[in-house]
Parts: sequence; C-alpha cells; structure tokens
Amino acid sequence: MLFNSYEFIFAFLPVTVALFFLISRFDHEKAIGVLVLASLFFYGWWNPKYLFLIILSMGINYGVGRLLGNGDKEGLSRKTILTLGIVFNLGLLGYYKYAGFFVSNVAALTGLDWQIGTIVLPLAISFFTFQQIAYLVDAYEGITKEYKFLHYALFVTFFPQLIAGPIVHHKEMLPQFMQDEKMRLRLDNITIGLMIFSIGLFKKAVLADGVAVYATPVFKAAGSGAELGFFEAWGGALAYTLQLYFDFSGYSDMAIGAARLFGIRLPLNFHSPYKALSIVEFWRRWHMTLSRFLRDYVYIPLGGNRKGKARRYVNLSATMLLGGLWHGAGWTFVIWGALHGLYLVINHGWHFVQSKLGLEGLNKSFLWRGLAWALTFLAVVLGWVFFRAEDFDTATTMLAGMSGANGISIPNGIAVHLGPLQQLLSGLGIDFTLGGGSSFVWTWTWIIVLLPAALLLPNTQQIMDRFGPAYNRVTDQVAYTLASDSLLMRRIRFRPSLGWAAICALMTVTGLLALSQISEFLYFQF
Amino acid sequence: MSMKKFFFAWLAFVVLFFAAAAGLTWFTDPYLMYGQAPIAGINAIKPEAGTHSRQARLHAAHRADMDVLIVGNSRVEMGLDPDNALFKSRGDRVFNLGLPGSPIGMQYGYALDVVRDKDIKMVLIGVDFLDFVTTADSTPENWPPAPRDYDKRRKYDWDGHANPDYRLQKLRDLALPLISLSGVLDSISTLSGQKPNSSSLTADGFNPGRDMAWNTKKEGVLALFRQKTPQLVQSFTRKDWRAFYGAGHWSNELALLDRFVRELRARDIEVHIFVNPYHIHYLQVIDRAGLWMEFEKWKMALTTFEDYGDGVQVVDFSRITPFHTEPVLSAGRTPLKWFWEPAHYRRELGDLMIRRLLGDCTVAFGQTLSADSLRENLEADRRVLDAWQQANPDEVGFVNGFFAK
Repeated sequence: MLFNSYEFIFAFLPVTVALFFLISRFDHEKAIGVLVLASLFFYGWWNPKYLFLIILSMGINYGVGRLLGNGDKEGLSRKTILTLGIVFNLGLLGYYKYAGFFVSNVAALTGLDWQIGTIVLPLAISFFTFQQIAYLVDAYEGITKEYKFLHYALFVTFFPQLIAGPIVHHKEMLPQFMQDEKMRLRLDNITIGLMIFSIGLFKKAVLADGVAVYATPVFKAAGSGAELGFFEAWGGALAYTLQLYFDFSGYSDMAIGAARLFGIRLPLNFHSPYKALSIVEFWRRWHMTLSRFLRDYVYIPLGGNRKGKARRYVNLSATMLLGGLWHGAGWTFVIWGALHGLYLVINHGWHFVQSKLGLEGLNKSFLWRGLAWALTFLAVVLGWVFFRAEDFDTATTMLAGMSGANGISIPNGIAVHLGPLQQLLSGLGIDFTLGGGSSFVWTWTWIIVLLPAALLLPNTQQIMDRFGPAYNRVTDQVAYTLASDSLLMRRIRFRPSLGWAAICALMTVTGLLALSQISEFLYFQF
Repeated sequence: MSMKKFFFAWLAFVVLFFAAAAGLTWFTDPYLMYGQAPIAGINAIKPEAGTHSRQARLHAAHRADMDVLIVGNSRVEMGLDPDNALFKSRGDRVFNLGLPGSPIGMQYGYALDVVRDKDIKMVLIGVDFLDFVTTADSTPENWPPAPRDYDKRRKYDWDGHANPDYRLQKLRDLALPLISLSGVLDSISTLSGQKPNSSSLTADGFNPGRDMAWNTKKEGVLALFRQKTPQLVQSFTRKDWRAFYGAGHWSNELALLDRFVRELRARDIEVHIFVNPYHIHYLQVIDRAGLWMEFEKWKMALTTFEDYGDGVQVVDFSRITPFHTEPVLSAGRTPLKWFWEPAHYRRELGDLMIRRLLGDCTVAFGQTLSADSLRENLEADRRVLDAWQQANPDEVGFVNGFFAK
C-alpha cells in the first residue's frame, strides 16, 4: 500500500489510528498487537505471499537475539551465533536481491549457460534486513534489553517506517513503544502528524511527480540511443535530481507524520542534502539512517580511520561500494557507489591538505562557499545519472549530451520568439530543433522553481522545530551549509494560526488532488 | 490559537478548497465533460480538451442531439465541421466523433454505442489506409473482439447487451477531473487560454485547428511538414505491412468496418465511406515505403462495400488532383490552402468533401470507388504520381530524405 493512495489515506490510516487508540484505552499490549497486525496487513497488501518471509525473518532474528542476550552457554559460542544470524540475513537478502545479478555476471564471464528464474524482490527487504542485523550486533555487544516478541515485531514492522525507512535502531523505537503516555490519543500529536504528512504528500504528489514527467522521457531517449543536446540532457538530469529529492523528502515527511499520529517520533532521515557544501556533508544529510548504519556496522568494523590514512580511504571506498550495491543489483549502482567513495576520498584528502596549508579560512569566503556548493552539487548530479540510468550506455549517452558533445540546441518554437537574438545564437553555434518547445520551457521552469526551494527554504523539520517533529534534532553548521541562517530560514516557522491552517490545507488539498495520478516512491525499489 | 482551534480551522479550509477546486473544474468544463454552456471569453475555447478527448467525446455524444454522425480519427476531427452551412441548410444535426490516434475498434465501438441510443439517419466514415494494414502472419480475431480497457466506457457491448462496467466508468470519468489537480490546472489554463491561437474543441466535436494555424504562422509550413513526415515514415515502415494476410484475408480492422456497416444498414442508416485526402507528400511516403500496391489493394477491397446497395456510398478523396499537390518547400508562413500538414486537411477541403458526399456533383473532387472504374483509375493515379515525381525532384528529395535518416 502506498502512502500516496486513496486506500491508505482514507481507509487504512484512519481505521488503524482509531482502532489503536480505542483498544489502548483497555489494554496496551493488545493495542500494540493491533498495530503489528495492521502493519502486516499494510505489508501484505503488496503481495501476501511475502508475509511469510518477513514473519520468518522476525522470528529467527528475535530468537537469535534472545540467544545472544542470554550470555555464553554450552554449545555454540556467541560469536558463532551472531555469525549464523548475520549469514541468515545476508543469505535472504543475497538470494532475493543479488542472485540474478550474480548468476548473469558469472554466466557472462565464463560463457556458461547459467540461468535463474525471475526472483521478485520482496518489498522492504533491504530495510528490515539491515535493521535486524544492527539489532543482532547490538545484542552481541550486550546493548539490547530483554524485549517482548510483540514489541520486537512492532520495531521491525511498524508501517510508517517499514517500506523505505528510516532504518530505525532498537534504542530509538522500543523504549517509545513501552511508554504508557504514547498510548493516549492527543490532538496535538494528531494535528502535528497530519501537518507533516500533508507537507510530505505535497512534496511527493505535486512536486516530485510533477517534475518526473520531464526526467523520464530524457532518460528513456538516452536509453534508446538518441543523441541528446546540451540543454535536453541537463534538463533531464536536473529534473531527476529534483524528482528524487522531493520524492525521498516527501516520503520521509510522510513516514514521520504517520508515526506521529501514534505519538511515535521517527529518526530524521533527510535534511536538505542539496544545501551541503561538501560530499562529506551531503552524506550527513541524505538517507541519514543508512549512512549511520554503514558507518557503525561496516566502516567502523572495517577499521574506520584507526589504521592510517590509506586504510581509511580503502574503508571509505569499500563502504560506499556496498552502499551503492545496497540500492540495487546492477553495475550502475556499483559505479554510483564507487563514484561517491572516490568523492569522499578526495573530500577527506582536501581537508587534510587544507589543514596542512592553513587554508581553513577559505570556508568563510562567500565566493569559496559558492564554488564548494557548485562542485558538490555537480558531483551529486553526475552520480544521479548513473543511479537513474538503466545501464552504463544510457548513462554515458546522458553524460555525452551534458558535456555538449552533441551540440547545443533550442526548440524552434522558442527561437521564433527571440527576434534578433536568434541570429546571435545561431552565430554562436546554437542549433534550432523542430518542435514547439513547451516541454523545454516546462522542464526549465520546474528546475528554476524547485532548485531554489530545495536550497533556500527551511525543511519540514526546521519549519516544525517547535514541536519536536523527529526523534533527533539536527542543527545546521553554518560552515558546511548553504543559506543556513537566511531570513527565510528564520521566518518560516509553523505555529497554530489561521494563516498556517490555510497554507497547510492548501498543501493537503493539492496533494490529495494529485493522487489521481499515483506513482510509487523511488526508494520502494531498493 | 489553540491546537484544537487550529485543527478545526485546517479541516474547514480543506473542505473549502476541495469544494472550490471541484466547482472550478465543473464550471469551466475544460474537457467538455459536463456539457456546460460556453461563455465567450471565459470557457468557450477549450485548449485542454484534446488531452481528454477519448474520455469526454463519447459522453458528449450521448448528451448531444444529432441525426448525422461523423466517424474516424483526427483527420475527420479536424476536417469535417458539423457547423457546415450545407448541413445546416438541410436541417441536419451533426456530431463529429473523430477520435485522434484511436484504433478502429474504438472508432466503430463508440459509434455503435451512439447509434444504438439515437435516431441517426446518416453516418460519414472517414477511413485511412494505415488504420487497416495488417501483417502476413496475422490471424483472424474472434467475434466479439476481446474487450479492451476503453470499451468500459461504452453503454453496450458489440452485440448490443448492456455493459455492466458502464455506470462505474462514467462516474469515474465525470468525477475524477473534479478531484484531480490536473483538472484544476487545466481549468486555469482554459480560463487564461481564451486566445485565437489556442487549440480547441467545439461542443459538437470539431477541432478547428487553431494551434495549427498559429504554429504555421510562427514557424512556417515547412516546419510542420518536417515534424510530421518522419512520424509518417516511422508508422509506414515499422512493420512489413500488407493490405491482406494469409490467402487474401481482410485485416481484422477491415472486417470490423464490414460489421459496422452491416449494423448501420440493418438500422436503415445511410452510410458514406470515404478515403481521406492526403497531401502528395503523404502519398510519396506510401510509395517510397514500397506500399503503393498494398494501398491499391486496400482501395479495391473498399469497392466491395458497393454491394450493400444504394444505402452505401464509397468515395475516394485521395486521388491526386491540384488540391493535393500544393508545393511545400516554397511555402512560407501562410498555411497551405487545403492542408495543415501531410496527413491533416483543413476545414476548407472538408467543406468540399461534405458537398460531394451529400450529392453535389459539381464539386471536382472525390470519385466514387467502384470495381468497374477502379483499375483504370489506379493506373491513372500511378501516372499522375510519376509525373509529379518527375516534375518535383526537390519535393520528392525532401520526403525521401527522411527515409535515409
């Protein structure tokens, strides 16, 4: 079931909220049970067959967690139990997500006629697998407590975060499930939750889906081998950059908003990443809970920065490669991960050089900050080309167009309005292609409107700051963030007033009106 | 303001905005879905109607009062004006059911739906070679044809039984624009698009081609031909097209036309089938694609409709005459007299066609397709095409150039 669907908004969500608070008046544990059942129904809506998989995964991980929590006993050592638990999780993920990729690559390399049937990727498997691996590692390290299975099941399946994150940590969620005050219906939670959900719905259904129309055909054309002009290729790449931003940002808001209806605060997962002035900062803001998982459970266990600079860079690259592969079993994701690994190595290398040469003062210069943002954003956009492209050829076709290798052209329909400027442009080597140019105009209009919105406006967490929207609060560091202390950032703050009621209602209604063209969240495919 | 007051204020605004959005779309009626009276300067021009033409047109036809129905694709939609003076003088109430880019099953299925509910006395059916081509390995489709998604919109199935999906589909068609963002945006576009150059559809289904006129004025005739010709080349060369499959079997589409005509004749409805006129560049594409013989075979098949007797007339408007051969390369920013681009003729030519179809034999355009005269005519057409090709190497080169690409 999609958050941006009539059945979720008008049936599932209100019924679940009503049942939960109704039953919690009599019995807290039963209310949690209702929430678990509702979450499983939510998951099973997509494909009931895979309910068995998630229940099996939960059951085994809970059992392994209990074994690890009980300390050393006779028989298998705790380390062996942990290893078996991780192997089970990675085995499931490997089979469903990577088996086809692995077999096709081995077949291509060896020439063997290996084939594997189509394996449908179970929804959310990447998320609940990582979540439970973290749980097992923490149980091994003695960080977890004795949790009831019902509470554990809710930690894994809680529907606002089940499908596409955030990848929650047991320390963040399980204590919240056990607080009695969460079980009471509170109008302020409902109101704040609905406002955050509405902002997210607006971002997804109106903005992300609105600009997607101008990204998809360009990547499709690149996929069919068309030679893309400079503006066309950049238009497609930037449109996708903004689509992904508002899609993920919208989803994250909707997840936080839906959880808040139950009084639960989810951890922040998305914090204006395009405002970052470096790639390091970008990864502190994009898919924050995945970055945290990779740092705590991959990068640090690999040695982190404790074994010298060279090893640190190797660890970083390996972690990012894994992060790329986590997003999908395909070489374009591997390249995307490798590219970001390289970016991070260069970024850390630059920090080292900068401190050696005493150039830290540069970070205060307006011009330098502008350059840093532009370079970071360019690197991110180039990465998204690989992330979005169906295959390597599509990505290189896009990049060729963006480099200007196929020339620069504008549609004839626009050129005829330019008067004498048309001659000048022609003299500069700009071609005029057939067509009225409405797609060209709309592509760039969306980009011109959405990019400043992503860069200059406060995000939902900042707008709702007074009401503690998320589990954690992130403050911008001026040195690493674009426009962090601008007037807009200070002035746009939610408060219960008639004006805000009208603004929020407008976003709710436009979001709901846009539901007639439903599309999936991009992160559902991971 | 307390959180409680804020919550209820928000709720009230939500209801208010929803009502305003639905009201705006219903009043503006951007897709001709609700039958609102056109108000000059407010919503008389419908720039967005074309985007929902398939959804709206059948419902509009069911609402309309008519006794003459025009059936076909975008060519009749843009060429034959129900408001034509001759129709008026005869007292005909005409509706144009031309469905752009539609398959034959949709054209005739929707038309049958209207015919079953109205007292129709005459149907004009525009036909195009490309809608009837088939491939050598085709197989006959069973009767009735497998229901397509667009058939849900019909009141009756092919055999005239009530369609159980109709009411729900009609409700969806009418309600969805009222609760959709695109409905609101298209309403705003309608209110702001009351300009002579905006595209539009009239309440009786005619597309006056305002945008074509504007584009020609801004970009020139050649630009439109440059844009359309490669699409035609792609359509004609996409598959190894044939007029018949197997041992001379009609395509499923031609068989459907036959069924359709029989249904009309069973209701004693006068039927005029006509081959749409094409600019000579279009015919050159057919020739260059190696399909001229197939085109001739298809016309031969159409002559068999004569067998239905006096109630059925078949007229060919595609024979090459000076109407078809206006030069393109030397044309400027004034539209050609008879065509917008290779595939779509203008209302001016459509008016002549209407006169010819309704019996005015003084019009030197269009010829009755009959088995007796066809063979001779086809040879003559071939000679005229050859002569045109000899005399206009630049125009021929222009068209053929799109094949090389």
